[in-house]
Amino acid sequence: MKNVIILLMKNEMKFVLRISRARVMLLFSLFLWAQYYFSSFHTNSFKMMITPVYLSLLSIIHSQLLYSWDSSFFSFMLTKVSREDYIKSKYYFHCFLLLISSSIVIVMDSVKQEPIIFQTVAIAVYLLGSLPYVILLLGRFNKKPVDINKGAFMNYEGFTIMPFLLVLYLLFSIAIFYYPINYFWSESIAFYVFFALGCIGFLIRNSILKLIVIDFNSVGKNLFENYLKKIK
Amino acid sequence: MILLNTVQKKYGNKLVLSIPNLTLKDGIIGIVGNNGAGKTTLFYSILNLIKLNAGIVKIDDFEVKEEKWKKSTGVFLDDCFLISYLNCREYLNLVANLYGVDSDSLEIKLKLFDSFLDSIPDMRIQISKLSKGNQKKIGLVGALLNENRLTILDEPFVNLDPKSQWELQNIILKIKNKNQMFLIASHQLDHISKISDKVIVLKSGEIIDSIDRKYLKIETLNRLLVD
Repeated sequence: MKNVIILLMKNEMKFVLRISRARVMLLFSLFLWAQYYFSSFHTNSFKMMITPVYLSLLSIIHSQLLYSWDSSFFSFMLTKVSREDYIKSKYYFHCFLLLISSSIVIVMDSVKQEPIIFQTVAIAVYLLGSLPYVILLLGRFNKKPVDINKGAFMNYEGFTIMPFLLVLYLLFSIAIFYYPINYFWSESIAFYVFFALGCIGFLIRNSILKLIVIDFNSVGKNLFENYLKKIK
Repeated sequence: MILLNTVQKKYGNKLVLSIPNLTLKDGIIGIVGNNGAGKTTLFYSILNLIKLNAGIVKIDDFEVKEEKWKKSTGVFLDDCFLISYLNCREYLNLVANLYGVDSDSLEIKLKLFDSFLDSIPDMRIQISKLSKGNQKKIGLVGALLNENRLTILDEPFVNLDPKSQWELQNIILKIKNKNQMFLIASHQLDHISKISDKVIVLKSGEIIDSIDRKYLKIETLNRLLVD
C-alpha cells in the first residue's frame, strides 16, 4: 500500500477519534451489537438476512456521510492528493471498518457457540469483496456539506438515504444468490459461492477501483461545487 | 508555465470566467479585480476543482486533469485548505509528508517561518482553536513550505497583522527562485505592486489588462479597478 494512502487512513482515524459526531455515530454500533448478542436466531436463512447488517455496521454508519465528512477540507484533498489515492484510502478504510465489525460479530458467534460460524465468515468475506465499492459509488449522493463541529444527534442536518440503500443492497444481493442456489443445490454451496465471490471481488479491487476513480473525476467536481454553494 | 485556452465557466446562465488565451510564465503574478471579477474561479479552473463549460488548462504542458501538478503545487485559498481537527504540527507534517518531505527537512524548512509563526503559542494547539489570523498563517506555511513549482494564494494578506503582512511579503520574495511561479490574488494593491513581476487585472470574468513590473504603479491599478 502506498505511503500516501496510509497517511490518509491515519488521518481519517484521527477524524473518527476527534470529531464527536463521527465518534458517537460509531459508538452507537455497540448498542446494536449488544442487541445482536442477546437475540437468538434459530435458522440459518433468517440469521443470514440479518447478520450482514451487523457484520458491516461500522462501515454502514460511517459511510452515511462519505465524502460529506470531508466537505470542510475537500479542497485540500482534491489539490494535495491524487483522486486515485483519495479513493483508495476511502476503500481501505472501509475494508478496515468491515474487518473490525466482522471480527466482533464472529467473536460473539464463537462465544455463543453458534453452529454457523462458517456462514458468518463467508458472508463477511463476501461483504469485504463487494460492499466498499457500493459505498464509494453511493457516496455521490451525499451532496450536502456537514458541519463536523455539530453533535451527532439533533444537528438539523438530517440523515441521508445512504444507510437505507446499503441495507437494501445487503438484503437483495444476498437473497439473489442465496435462494436460487439453496433451492437448486444446497445451502452450503451458497456459502461457498459467497466466499468465492468475496475473494474474487477483493482480488480484482484494482480494476474496480480504477473505474470508480474515473467516475469520481466528475463526481468530485460536482461535490466540490455543491459544498461550495452550500458553505457560501 | 500555465496555459489557458478558450476557458469559460458559467454558473447558471451567468458567465463568470471567459479567457480566450492566457499564458503565464514563471515569476510572481498578481491577480487583481473587484469582488466577483473571477479571481477565485480562475484559481479553481487552474486547480481542476470545477467543471469548465469550455476550454483546457495546462500546467507545464500537461492537462490539469492528469494531476501531475499536485506534487509540486502549494495552494491556500481559504479555510477549506485547513484540516481543523489536526493540530498545527500534525497539519504541517501531513502536508510535508504528502510532498515527500521527511521530518528533518521539515524542521529546516520551518526555520524560515519562525518569526512568522511566533504568534502561535504552541504548535500542538488544534487548528480550529486558533484565531483567524493564526489559522491563515498555518495554511500559508503549508502552501509555502515546499519549494513548489507553482504556489497559488488567494488574499494571503487579509486577516494578518501589519508585521505579519510585511514578513509574508519578505518570505515570498526570499523563497522565490527562477523556476517557480506564484499566483497571488489580492485586494491589497500596495503588496501586490511591490512583489509582482506582472499583474493581471480581471473584470467580470475577463482579463482587461496585463501590466509588467516596469510599468506597474499602484495608481494605475487603482484607476483600472475604480473605473
